[in-house]
Amino acid sequence: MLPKSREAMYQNRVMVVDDDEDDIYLMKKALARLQESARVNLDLTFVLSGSDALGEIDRGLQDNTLPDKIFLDLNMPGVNGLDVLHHCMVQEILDKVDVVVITTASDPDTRRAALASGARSVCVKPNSLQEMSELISRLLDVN
Amino acid sequence: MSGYLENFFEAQSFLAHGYCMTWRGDLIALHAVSDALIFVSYVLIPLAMLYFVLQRPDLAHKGIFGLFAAFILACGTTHLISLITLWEPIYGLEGLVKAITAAISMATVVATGLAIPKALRLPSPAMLREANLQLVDEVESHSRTNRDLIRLQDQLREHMRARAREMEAKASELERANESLRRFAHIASHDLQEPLRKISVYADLLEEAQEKGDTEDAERAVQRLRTMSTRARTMVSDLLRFSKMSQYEPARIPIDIGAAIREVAELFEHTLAASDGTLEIDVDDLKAEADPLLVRQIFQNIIGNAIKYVPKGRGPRIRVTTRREHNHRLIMISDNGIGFAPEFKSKIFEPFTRLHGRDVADGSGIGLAIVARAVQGMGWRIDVDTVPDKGTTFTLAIPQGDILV
Repeated sequence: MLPKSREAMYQNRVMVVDDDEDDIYLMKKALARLQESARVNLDLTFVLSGSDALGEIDRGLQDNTLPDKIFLDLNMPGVNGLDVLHHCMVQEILDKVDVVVITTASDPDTRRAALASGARSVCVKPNSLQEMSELISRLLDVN
Repeated sequence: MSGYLENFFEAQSFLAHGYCMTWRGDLIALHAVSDALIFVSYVLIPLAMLYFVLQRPDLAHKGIFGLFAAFILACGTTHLISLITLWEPIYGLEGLVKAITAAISMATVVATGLAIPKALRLPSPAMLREANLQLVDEVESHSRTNRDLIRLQDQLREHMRARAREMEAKASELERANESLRRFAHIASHDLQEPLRKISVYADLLEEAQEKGDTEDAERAVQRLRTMSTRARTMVSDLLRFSKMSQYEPARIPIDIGAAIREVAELFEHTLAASDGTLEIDVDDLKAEADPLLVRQIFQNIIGNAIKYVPKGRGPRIRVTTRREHNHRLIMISDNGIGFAPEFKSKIFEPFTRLHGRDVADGSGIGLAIVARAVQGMGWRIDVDTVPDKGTTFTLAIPQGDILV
Protein backbone atom coordinates (compact mmCIF):
# COMPACT_ATOMS: atom_id res chain seq x y z
CA MET A 1 0.00 0.00 0.00
CA LEU A 2 1.20 3.46 -0.87
CA PRO A 3 1.92 5.98 1.85
CA LYS A 4 -1.06 8.14 2.64
CA SER A 5 0.57 11.35 1.45
CA ARG A 6 1.32 9.84 -1.96
CA GLU A 7 -2.24 8.61 -2.19
CA ALA A 8 -3.55 12.03 -1.19
CA MET A 9 -1.45 13.71 -3.85
CA TYR A 10 -2.81 11.31 -6.42
CA GLN A 11 -6.42 11.83 -5.38
CA ASN A 12 -6.62 15.57 -5.07
CA ARG A 13 -7.45 16.57 -8.55
CA VAL A 14 -10.59 18.63 -7.98
CA MET A 15 -13.04 20.40 -10.27
CA VAL A 16 -15.21 23.05 -8.62
CA VAL A 17 -18.40 23.85 -10.54
CA ASP A 18 -20.14 26.95 -9.24
CA ASP A 19 -21.44 30.12 -10.88
CA ASP A 20 -21.40 32.02 -7.61
CA GLU A 21 -18.27 34.16 -7.47
CA ASP A 22 -18.63 34.71 -3.72
CA ASP A 23 -18.57 31.03 -3.03
CA ILE A 24 -15.60 30.53 -5.33
CA TYR A 25 -13.77 33.32 -3.57
CA LEU A 26 -14.54 31.74 -0.22
CA MET A 27 -13.45 28.33 -1.40
CA LYS A 28 -10.18 29.69 -2.77
CA LYS A 29 -9.54 31.37 0.57
CA ALA A 30 -10.26 28.18 2.44
CA LEU A 31 -8.05 26.15 0.12
CA ALA A 32 -5.24 28.65 0.44
CA ARG A 33 -5.50 28.40 4.22
CA LEU A 34 -5.52 24.64 3.98
CA GLN A 35 -2.44 24.58 1.80
CA GLU A 36 -0.63 26.78 4.29
CA SER A 37 -1.33 24.48 7.21
CA ALA A 38 -1.31 21.04 5.67
CA ARG A 39 0.59 19.16 3.06
CA VAL A 40 -2.06 19.20 0.39
CA ASN A 41 -1.19 19.16 -3.21
CA LEU A 42 -4.25 20.19 -5.13
CA ASP A 43 -4.86 20.34 -8.82
CA LEU A 44 -7.80 22.73 -8.87
CA THR A 45 -10.03 23.67 -11.78
CA PHE A 46 -12.80 26.25 -11.35
CA VAL A 47 -15.67 25.98 -13.79
CA LEU A 48 -18.17 28.83 -13.71
CA SER A 49 -21.22 27.26 -15.37
CA GLY A 50 -22.93 23.97 -15.89
CA SER A 51 -22.45 23.99 -19.63
CA ASP A 52 -18.69 24.63 -19.19
CA ALA A 53 -18.63 21.73 -16.77
CA LEU A 54 -20.09 19.42 -19.41
CA GLY A 55 -17.33 20.48 -21.84
CA GLU A 56 -14.64 19.96 -19.21
CA ILE A 57 -15.95 16.51 -18.37
CA ASP A 58 -16.06 15.48 -22.03
CA ARG A 59 -12.54 16.78 -22.54
CA GLY A 60 -11.38 14.94 -19.42
CA LEU A 61 -12.92 11.73 -20.75
CA GLN A 62 -11.16 12.17 -24.08
CA ASP A 63 -7.74 13.09 -22.66
CA ASN A 64 -8.09 10.79 -19.68
CA THR A 65 -7.66 13.76 -17.35
CA LEU A 66 -10.85 13.40 -15.36
CA PRO A 67 -10.76 14.91 -11.87
CA ASP A 68 -10.98 12.72 -8.80
CA LYS A 69 -13.62 14.88 -7.26
CA ILE A 70 -16.18 17.36 -8.49
CA PHE A 71 -17.63 19.90 -6.07
CA LEU A 72 -20.89 20.78 -7.71
CA ASP A 73 -23.36 23.58 -7.10
CA LEU A 74 -26.96 22.84 -8.05
CA ASN A 75 -28.51 26.23 -8.60
CA MET A 76 -27.06 27.51 -11.87
CA PRO A 77 -28.86 29.07 -14.83
CA GLY A 78 -29.04 27.04 -18.02
CA VAL A 79 -27.34 23.72 -17.37
CA ASN A 80 -27.68 23.23 -13.64
CA GLY A 81 -26.07 20.87 -11.16
CA LEU A 82 -28.56 18.08 -11.67
CA ASP A 83 -27.91 18.22 -15.42
CA VAL A 84 -24.20 17.89 -14.79
CA LEU A 85 -24.83 14.92 -12.52
CA HIS A 86 -27.01 13.35 -15.17
CA HIS A 87 -24.26 13.83 -17.73
CA CYS A 88 -21.79 12.11 -15.41
CA MET A 89 -24.19 9.22 -15.04
CA VAL A 90 -24.71 8.88 -18.78
CA GLN A 91 -20.95 9.03 -19.39
CA GLU A 92 -20.51 6.36 -16.67
CA ILE A 93 -17.81 8.19 -14.78
CA LEU A 94 -19.45 8.18 -11.36
CA ASP A 95 -17.45 5.15 -10.21
CA LYS A 96 -14.22 6.98 -11.03
CA VAL A 97 -15.19 10.49 -9.97
CA ASP A 98 -16.75 11.47 -6.62
CA VAL A 99 -19.34 14.12 -7.21
CA VAL A 100 -20.15 16.08 -4.07
CA VAL A 101 -23.06 18.47 -4.27
CA ILE A 102 -22.60 21.70 -2.32
CA THR A 103 -25.74 23.75 -2.32
CA THR A 104 -27.74 26.35 -0.42
CA ALA A 105 -30.93 24.36 -0.67
CA SER A 106 -30.88 21.88 2.17
CA ASP A 107 -34.44 20.64 1.83
CA PRO A 108 -35.04 16.88 1.66
CA ASP A 109 -36.37 17.01 -1.92
CA THR A 110 -33.19 18.55 -3.29
CA ARG A 111 -31.04 16.14 -1.31
CA ARG A 112 -33.01 13.15 -2.55
CA ALA A 113 -32.88 14.34 -6.16
CA ALA A 114 -29.12 14.83 -6.01
CA LEU A 115 -28.44 11.48 -4.38
CA ALA A 116 -30.77 9.76 -6.83
CA SER A 117 -28.78 11.31 -9.69
CA GLY A 118 -25.59 9.78 -8.39
CA ALA A 119 -24.07 12.37 -6.03
CA ARG A 120 -21.71 10.82 -3.48
CA SER A 121 -22.96 13.22 -0.81
CA VAL A 122 -24.87 16.48 -0.44
CA CYS A 123 -23.46 19.32 1.66
CA VAL A 124 -24.90 22.64 2.65
CA LYS A 125 -22.89 25.72 1.72
CA PRO A 126 -21.01 26.94 4.80
CA ASN A 127 -21.65 30.15 6.71
CA SER A 128 -18.03 31.07 7.41
CA LEU A 129 -14.47 30.63 6.26
CA GLN A 130 -13.87 28.29 9.16
CA GLU A 131 -16.79 26.09 8.18
CA MET A 132 -15.66 26.10 4.56
CA SER A 133 -12.16 25.03 5.58
CA GLU A 134 -13.54 22.24 7.70
CA LEU A 135 -15.87 21.09 4.95
CA ILE A 136 -13.09 20.98 2.36
CA SER A 137 -10.66 19.17 4.63
CA ARG A 138 -13.32 16.62 5.33
CA LEU A 139 -14.19 16.22 1.65
CA LEU A 140 -10.54 16.01 0.61
CA ASP A 141 -9.84 13.61 3.42
CA VAL A 142 -6.96 15.78 4.67
CA ASN A 143 -5.55 15.22 8.20
CA MET B 1 -175.52 14.20 27.04
CA SER B 2 -176.17 12.08 24.01
CA GLY B 3 -179.49 13.86 23.74
CA TYR B 4 -177.65 17.25 23.66
CA LEU B 5 -175.21 16.12 20.99
CA GLU B 6 -177.99 14.69 18.87
CA ASN B 7 -179.79 17.96 19.26
CA PHE B 8 -176.54 19.90 18.42
CA PHE B 9 -175.94 18.02 15.15
CA GLU B 10 -179.57 17.79 14.01
CA ALA B 11 -180.29 19.64 10.79
CA GLN B 12 -184.05 19.62 10.53
CA SER B 13 -184.76 22.81 12.45
CA PHE B 14 -182.50 25.09 10.27
CA LEU B 15 -182.78 26.48 6.82
CA ALA B 16 -180.10 25.65 4.23
CA HIS B 17 -177.90 28.51 2.96
CA GLY B 18 -179.55 28.22 -0.41
CA TYR B 19 -182.67 29.42 1.19
CA CYS B 20 -180.94 32.67 2.27
CA MET B 21 -180.04 33.14 -1.43
CA THR B 22 -183.69 32.62 -2.29
CA TRP B 23 -182.46 29.59 -4.35
CA ARG B 24 -181.15 31.86 -7.02
CA GLY B 25 -179.44 29.41 -9.32
CA ASP B 26 -176.55 31.60 -10.49
CA LEU B 27 -175.59 32.72 -6.96
CA ILE B 28 -175.75 29.20 -5.60
CA ALA B 29 -173.72 27.90 -8.54
CA LEU B 30 -171.05 30.54 -7.97
CA HIS B 31 -170.75 29.64 -4.31
CA ALA B 32 -170.87 25.93 -4.96
CA VAL B 33 -168.21 25.93 -7.72
CA SER B 34 -165.96 28.31 -5.79
CA ASP B 35 -166.16 26.28 -2.60
CA ALA B 36 -165.58 23.06 -4.53
CA LEU B 37 -162.53 24.45 -6.31
CA ILE B 38 -161.12 25.89 -3.07
CA PHE B 39 -161.62 22.53 -1.35
CA VAL B 40 -159.92 20.59 -4.13
CA SER B 41 -157.04 23.08 -4.14
CA TYR B 42 -156.75 22.96 -0.34
CA VAL B 43 -156.49 19.18 -0.54
CA LEU B 44 -153.96 19.18 -3.37
CA ILE B 45 -151.66 21.78 -1.73
CA PRO B 46 -151.00 19.63 1.41
CA LEU B 47 -150.47 16.60 -0.85
CA ALA B 48 -147.89 18.57 -2.85
CA MET B 49 -146.26 19.66 0.39
CA LEU B 50 -146.23 16.06 1.62
CA TYR B 51 -144.59 14.96 -1.59
CA PHE B 52 -141.96 17.71 -1.27
CA VAL B 53 -141.19 16.81 2.35
CA LEU B 54 -140.89 13.14 1.44
CA GLN B 55 -138.52 13.96 -1.42
CA ARG B 56 -136.27 16.09 0.82
CA PRO B 57 -135.40 13.97 3.84
CA ASP B 58 -132.69 16.50 4.78
CA LEU B 59 -135.26 19.29 5.09
CA ALA B 60 -135.15 21.15 8.39
CA HIS B 61 -138.36 22.12 10.32
CA LYS B 62 -140.48 19.32 8.92
CA GLY B 63 -143.00 19.87 11.76
CA ILE B 64 -144.02 23.28 10.51
CA PHE B 65 -144.58 21.87 7.04
CA GLY B 66 -146.95 19.29 8.59
CA LEU B 67 -148.70 21.99 10.54
CA PHE B 68 -149.17 24.13 7.42
CA ALA B 69 -150.49 21.07 5.57
CA ALA B 70 -153.00 20.37 8.33
CA PHE B 71 -154.00 24.06 8.45
CA ILE B 72 -154.64 24.20 4.72
CA LEU B 73 -156.48 20.89 4.75
CA ALA B 74 -158.66 22.13 7.63
CA CYS B 75 -159.44 25.34 5.72
CA GLY B 76 -160.34 23.15 2.72
CA THR B 77 -162.73 21.17 4.89
CA THR B 78 -164.59 24.36 5.97
CA HIS B 79 -165.13 25.11 2.27
CA LEU B 80 -166.44 21.55 1.73
CA ILE B 81 -168.86 22.10 4.63
CA SER B 82 -169.93 25.49 3.15
CA LEU B 83 -170.61 23.70 -0.15
CA ILE B 84 -172.79 21.17 1.66
CA THR B 85 -174.62 23.82 3.74
CA LEU B 86 -175.89 25.40 0.56
CA TRP B 87 -178.40 22.59 0.58
CA GLU B 88 -178.03 20.80 3.95
CA PRO B 89 -178.04 23.02 7.09
CA ILE B 90 -175.42 20.98 9.06
CA TYR B 91 -174.42 24.03 11.07
CA GLY B 92 -173.47 21.99 14.11
CA LEU B 93 -170.85 20.02 12.15
CA GLU B 94 -169.80 23.23 10.41
CA GLY B 95 -169.19 24.90 13.79
CA LEU B 96 -167.16 21.93 14.97
CA VAL B 97 -165.07 21.89 11.79
CA LYS B 98 -164.51 25.64 12.12
CA ALA B 99 -163.50 25.22 15.76
CA ILE B 100 -160.95 22.54 14.80
CA THR B 101 -159.70 24.73 11.97
CA ALA B 102 -159.41 27.68 14.38
CA ALA B 103 -157.36 25.55 16.76
CA ILE B 104 -155.04 24.39 13.99
CA SER B 105 -154.79 27.98 12.70
CA MET B 106 -153.80 29.30 16.09
CA ALA B 107 -151.30 26.53 16.58
CA THR B 108 -149.89 27.42 13.16
CA VAL B 109 -149.70 31.09 14.12
CA VAL B 110 -147.75 30.20 17.27
CA ALA B 111 -145.49 27.77 15.42
CA THR B 112 -144.89 30.34 12.67
CA GLY B 113 -144.07 32.99 15.28
CA LEU B 114 -141.55 30.64 16.80
CA ALA B 115 -140.14 29.52 13.43
CA ILE B 116 -139.61 32.97 11.88
CA PRO B 117 -136.43 33.86 13.85
CA LYS B 118 -135.01 30.43 13.00
CA ALA B 119 -136.08 30.81 9.38
CA LEU B 120 -134.46 34.21 9.25
CA ARG B 121 -131.23 32.62 10.37
CA LEU B 122 -131.39 30.20 7.49
CA PRO B 123 -129.09 31.40 4.68
CA SER B 124 -130.85 32.64 1.61
CA PRO B 125 -129.65 31.44 -1.81
CA ALA B 126 -128.10 34.87 -2.36
CA MET B 127 -126.24 34.53 0.91
CA LEU B 128 -125.29 31.00 -0.04
CA ARG B 129 -124.06 32.22 -3.39
CA GLU B 130 -122.08 34.92 -1.65
CA ALA B 131 -120.72 32.40 0.83
CA ASN B 132 -119.90 30.11 -2.03
CA LEU B 133 -118.04 32.83 -3.85
CA GLN B 134 -116.15 33.64 -0.69
CA LEU B 135 -115.33 29.99 -0.30
CA VAL B 136 -114.04 29.83 -3.85
CA ASP B 137 -111.96 32.91 -3.16
CA GLU B 138 -110.65 31.38 -0.02
CA VAL B 139 -109.76 28.14 -1.74
CA GLU B 140 -108.03 30.08 -4.45
CA SER B 141 -106.14 32.16 -1.95
CA HIS B 142 -105.18 28.97 -0.14
CA SER B 143 -103.85 27.38 -3.25
CA ARG B 144 -102.04 30.64 -4.02
CA THR B 145 -100.49 30.52 -0.58
CA ASN B 146 -99.63 26.93 -1.20
CA ARG B 147 -97.97 27.79 -4.50
CA ASP B 148 -96.11 30.64 -2.78
CA LEU B 149 -94.97 28.25 -0.09
CA ILE B 150 -93.76 25.75 -2.65
CA ARG B 151 -91.92 28.52 -4.49
CA LEU B 152 -90.40 29.78 -1.26
CA GLN B 153 -89.38 26.27 -0.39
CA ASP B 154 -87.73 25.90 -3.79
CA GLN B 155 -86.02 29.24 -3.34
CA LEU B 156 -84.83 28.25 0.08
CA ARG B 157 -83.54 24.96 -1.21
CA GLU B 158 -81.76 26.72 -4.10
CA HIS B 159 -80.39 29.31 -1.70
CA MET B 160 -79.05 26.60 0.56
CA ARG B 161 -77.52 24.77 -2.37
CA ALA B 162 -75.89 28.02 -3.55
CA ARG B 163 -74.64 28.65 -0.05
CA ALA B 164 -73.18 25.16 0.14
CA ARG B 165 -71.48 25.68 -3.20
CA GLU B 166 -70.19 29.03 -1.99
CA MET B 167 -68.80 27.46 1.16
CA GLU B 168 -67.17 24.72 -0.87
CA ALA B 169 -65.58 27.30 -3.15
CA LYS B 170 -64.43 29.29 -0.12
CA ALA B 171 -62.93 26.18 1.42
CA SER B 172 -61.01 25.24 -1.70
CA GLU B 173 -59.94 28.87 -2.12
CA LEU B 174 -58.65 28.81 1.43
CA GLU B 175 -56.88 25.56 0.73
CA ARG B 176 -55.25 27.09 -2.35
CA ALA B 177 -54.28 30.15 -0.33
CA ASN B 178 -52.80 27.89 2.31
CA GLU B 179 -50.85 25.93 -0.25
CA SER B 180 -49.65 29.18 -1.82
CA LEU B 181 -48.62 30.47 1.56
CA ARG B 182 -46.74 27.27 2.32
CA ARG B 183 -44.84 27.47 -0.96
CA PHE B 184 -44.41 31.18 -0.49
CA ALA B 185 -42.79 30.59 2.91
CA HIS B 186 -40.57 27.87 1.47
CA ILE B 187 -39.42 29.97 -1.46
CA ALA B 188 -39.03 33.09 0.62
CA SER B 189 -36.95 31.32 3.19
CA HIS B 190 -34.86 29.56 0.56
CA ASP B 191 -34.14 32.61 -1.56
CA LEU B 192 -33.60 34.82 1.44
CA GLN B 193 -31.16 32.36 2.91
CA GLU B 194 -28.70 32.97 0.10
CA PRO B 195 -27.79 36.64 0.75
CA LEU B 196 -28.00 36.15 4.51
CA ARG B 197 -25.53 33.28 4.41
CA LYS B 198 -23.13 35.43 2.41
CA ILE B 199 -23.46 38.29 4.85
CA SER B 200 -22.40 35.90 7.55
CA VAL B 201 -19.48 34.66 5.39
CA TYR B 202 -18.23 38.15 4.56
CA ALA B 203 -18.55 39.38 8.11
CA ASP B 204 -16.30 36.50 9.02
CA LEU B 205 -13.88 37.31 6.18
CA LEU B 206 -13.88 40.98 7.13
CA GLU B 207 -12.89 40.12 10.66
CA GLU B 208 -10.04 37.96 9.45
CA ALA B 209 -8.86 40.56 6.92
CA GLN B 210 -8.75 43.18 9.64
CA GLU B 211 -6.76 40.90 11.91
CA LYS B 212 -4.26 40.32 9.12
CA GLY B 213 -4.34 43.95 8.00
CA ASP B 214 -5.35 42.87 4.49
CA THR B 215 -7.06 46.04 3.25
CA GLU B 216 -7.83 44.62 -0.17
CA ASP B 217 -9.78 41.71 1.30
CA ALA B 218 -11.43 43.99 3.81
CA GLU B 219 -12.57 46.31 1.06
CA ARG B 220 -13.98 43.47 -0.96
CA ALA B 221 -15.77 42.08 2.08
CA VAL B 222 -17.34 45.45 2.85
CA GLN B 223 -18.42 45.88 -0.76
CA ARG B 224 -19.93 42.40 -0.85
CA LEU B 225 -21.61 42.91 2.50
CA ARG B 226 -23.24 45.98 1.07
CA THR B 227 -24.37 44.14 -2.08
CA MET B 228 -25.75 41.20 -0.13
CA SER B 229 -27.61 43.30 2.38
CA THR B 230 -29.10 45.26 -0.53
CA ARG B 231 -30.13 42.01 -2.21
CA ALA B 232 -31.73 40.70 0.95
CA ARG B 233 -33.52 43.98 1.45
CA THR B 234 -34.71 44.00 -2.17
CA MET B 235 -36.02 40.48 -1.85
CA VAL B 236 -37.89 41.23 1.34
CA SER B 237 -39.40 44.33 -0.18
CA ASP B 238 -40.27 42.40 -3.37
CA LEU B 239 -42.06 39.82 -1.32
CA LEU B 240 -43.80 42.51 0.65
CA ARG B 241 -44.67 44.31 -2.55
CA PHE B 242 -46.19 41.20 -3.96
CA SER B 243 -48.21 40.51 -0.85
CA LYS B 244 -49.30 44.13 -0.67
CA MET B 245 -49.98 44.43 -4.38
CA SER B 246 -53.63 43.61 -3.94
CA GLN B 247 -53.97 46.78 -1.88
CA TYR B 248 -51.60 48.86 -3.98
CA GLU B 249 -53.19 51.95 -5.52
CA PRO B 250 -51.57 52.45 -8.92
CA ALA B 251 -50.54 56.01 -9.74
CA ARG B 252 -51.32 57.67 -13.07
CA ILE B 253 -48.25 59.56 -14.13
CA PRO B 254 -47.24 60.42 -17.69
CA ILE B 255 -44.24 58.22 -18.45
CA ASP B 256 -42.13 57.36 -21.46
CA ILE B 257 -42.70 53.64 -21.80
CA GLY B 258 -39.73 53.13 -24.15
CA ALA B 259 -37.40 54.86 -21.72
CA ALA B 260 -38.76 52.78 -18.85
CA ILE B 261 -38.08 49.57 -20.80
CA ARG B 262 -34.55 50.68 -21.69
CA GLU B 263 -33.92 51.49 -18.05
CA VAL B 264 -34.99 47.99 -17.09
CA ALA B 265 -32.83 46.55 -19.87
CA GLU B 266 -29.73 48.09 -18.29
CA LEU B 267 -30.20 45.77 -15.33
CA PHE B 268 -29.71 42.80 -17.63
CA GLU B 269 -26.74 44.10 -19.63
CA HIS B 270 -24.27 41.95 -17.74
CA THR B 271 -26.28 38.75 -17.83
CA LEU B 272 -27.03 39.20 -21.51
CA ALA B 273 -23.40 39.75 -22.37
CA ALA B 274 -22.41 36.67 -20.37
CA SER B 275 -24.94 34.47 -22.13
CA ASP B 276 -24.24 35.92 -25.59
CA GLY B 277 -27.76 37.31 -25.80
CA THR B 278 -29.36 40.34 -27.42
CA LEU B 279 -32.16 42.61 -26.38
CA GLU B 280 -33.66 44.83 -29.05
CA ILE B 281 -36.04 47.54 -27.95
CA ASP B 282 -38.03 49.12 -30.74
CA VAL B 283 -40.36 51.31 -28.71
CA ASP B 284 -40.24 55.01 -29.58
CA ASP B 285 -42.62 57.83 -28.91
CA LEU B 286 -44.87 55.91 -26.62
CA LYS B 287 -45.96 57.97 -23.67
CA ALA B 288 -48.80 56.87 -21.48
CA GLU B 289 -50.38 57.53 -18.16
CA ALA B 290 -49.26 54.65 -16.00
CA ASP B 291 -47.66 53.66 -12.74
CA PRO B 292 -43.85 53.73 -13.18
CA LEU B 293 -43.27 51.11 -10.50
CA LEU B 294 -45.74 48.70 -12.03
CA VAL B 295 -44.38 49.26 -15.55
CA ARG B 296 -40.93 48.48 -14.25
CA GLN B 297 -42.17 45.34 -12.52
CA ILE B 298 -43.83 44.12 -15.72
CA PHE B 299 -40.79 44.50 -17.98
CA GLN B 300 -38.27 43.40 -15.40
CA ASN B 301 -40.07 40.14 -14.84
CA ILE B 302 -40.87 39.36 -18.47
CA ILE B 303 -37.39 40.21 -19.78
CA GLY B 304 -35.84 38.42 -16.81
CA ASN B 305 -37.78 35.29 -17.68
CA ALA B 306 -36.84 35.60 -21.36
CA ILE B 307 -33.17 35.53 -20.37
CA LYS B 308 -33.57 32.81 -17.77
CA TYR B 309 -35.67 30.34 -19.72
CA VAL B 310 -33.55 29.62 -22.80
CA PRO B 311 -32.51 26.20 -24.04
CA LYS B 312 -29.01 25.16 -23.10
CA GLY B 313 -26.44 26.69 -25.35
CA ARG B 314 -28.83 29.13 -27.01
CA GLY B 315 -28.20 32.84 -26.62
CA PRO B 316 -31.35 34.73 -25.68
CA ARG B 317 -32.79 36.85 -28.51
CA ILE B 318 -35.32 39.25 -27.11
CA ARG B 319 -37.33 41.83 -29.07
CA VAL B 320 -39.68 44.46 -27.73
CA THR B 321 -41.92 46.05 -30.37
CA THR B 322 -45.16 48.02 -30.53
CA ARG B 323 -48.18 48.03 -32.74
CA ARG B 324 -51.32 50.14 -32.97
CA GLU B 325 -54.58 48.36 -32.74
CA HIS B 326 -58.15 49.50 -32.58
CA ASN B 327 -58.63 51.01 -29.07
CA HIS B 328 -55.26 49.75 -27.86
CA ARG B 329 -51.54 50.15 -28.16
CA LEU B 330 -49.82 46.78 -28.08
CA ILE B 331 -46.34 46.01 -26.80
CA MET B 332 -44.91 42.65 -27.78
CA ILE B 333 -42.01 41.03 -25.94
CA SER B 334 -40.75 38.04 -27.92
CA ASP B 335 -38.03 35.61 -26.99
CA ASN B 336 -36.45 32.48 -28.40
CA GLY B 337 -36.72 30.60 -25.14
CA ILE B 338 -37.95 27.20 -24.13
CA GLY B 339 -41.60 28.26 -24.15
CA PHE B 340 -44.11 26.12 -22.40
CA ALA B 341 -46.96 23.78 -23.14
CA PRO B 342 -49.90 25.96 -24.27
CA GLU B 343 -52.27 24.14 -21.90
CA PHE B 344 -50.58 26.00 -19.03
CA LYS B 345 -51.48 29.37 -20.55
CA SER B 346 -54.12 30.07 -17.94
CA LYS B 347 -51.88 28.99 -15.09
CA ILE B 348 -48.73 30.95 -15.68
CA PHE B 349 -50.04 34.19 -14.19
CA GLU B 350 -51.00 32.51 -10.92
CA PRO B 351 -48.61 33.00 -8.03
CA PHE B 352 -46.04 30.29 -7.38
CA THR B 353 -46.63 28.55 -10.66
CA ARG B 354 -43.47 26.94 -11.88
CA LEU B 355 -43.80 25.17 -15.17
CA HIS B 356 -40.22 24.09 -15.32
CA GLY B 357 -38.33 22.20 -12.69
CA ARG B 358 -35.31 23.69 -11.05
CA ASP B 359 -33.33 21.67 -13.58
CA VAL B 360 -34.53 24.16 -16.22
CA ALA B 361 -34.08 27.34 -14.27
CA ASP B 362 -34.48 28.58 -10.78
CA GLY B 363 -37.41 30.85 -10.11
CA SER B 364 -39.81 31.75 -7.39
CA GLY B 365 -42.93 31.60 -9.53
CA ILE B 366 -43.80 35.07 -8.32
CA GLY B 367 -42.55 36.97 -11.35
CA LEU B 368 -45.49 36.51 -13.70
CA ALA B 369 -47.93 36.77 -10.80
CA ILE B 370 -46.52 40.21 -10.12
CA VAL B 371 -46.81 41.02 -13.84
CA ALA B 372 -50.45 39.92 -13.86
CA ARG B 373 -51.29 42.03 -10.84
CA ALA B 374 -49.44 45.04 -12.21
CA VAL B 375 -51.24 44.73 -15.56
CA GLN B 376 -54.57 44.36 -13.83
CA GLY B 377 -53.84 47.28 -11.52
CA MET B 378 -53.35 49.65 -14.44
CA GLY B 379 -56.27 48.34 -16.45
CA TRP B 380 -54.01 46.88 -19.11
CA ARG B 381 -54.40 43.42 -20.56
CA ILE B 382 -51.81 40.74 -21.12
CA ASP B 383 -51.80 37.71 -23.37
CA VAL B 384 -49.21 35.12 -24.11
CA ASP B 385 -48.42 32.95 -27.12
CA THR B 386 -45.90 30.22 -26.94
CA VAL B 387 -44.37 27.43 -28.97
CA PRO B 388 -42.46 24.94 -26.86
CA ASP B 389 -38.72 25.11 -27.57
CA LYS B 390 -39.24 27.98 -30.05
CA GLY B 391 -40.15 30.94 -27.93
CA THR B 392 -42.75 32.98 -26.17
CA THR B 393 -44.43 36.28 -26.97
CA PHE B 394 -46.12 38.32 -24.29
CA THR B 395 -48.50 40.96 -25.62
CA LEU B 396 -49.43 43.90 -23.43
CA ALA B 397 -52.45 45.98 -24.43
CA ILE B 398 -52.59 49.57 -23.17
CA PRO B 399 -56.02 51.17 -23.52
CA GLN B 400 -56.01 54.04 -26.03
CA GLY B 401 -57.38 56.31 -23.31
CA ASP B 402 -54.11 56.04 -21.39
CA ILE B 403 -51.93 56.82 -24.40
CA LEU B 404 -50.52 60.35 -24.50
CA VAL B 405 -48.39 60.09 -27.65
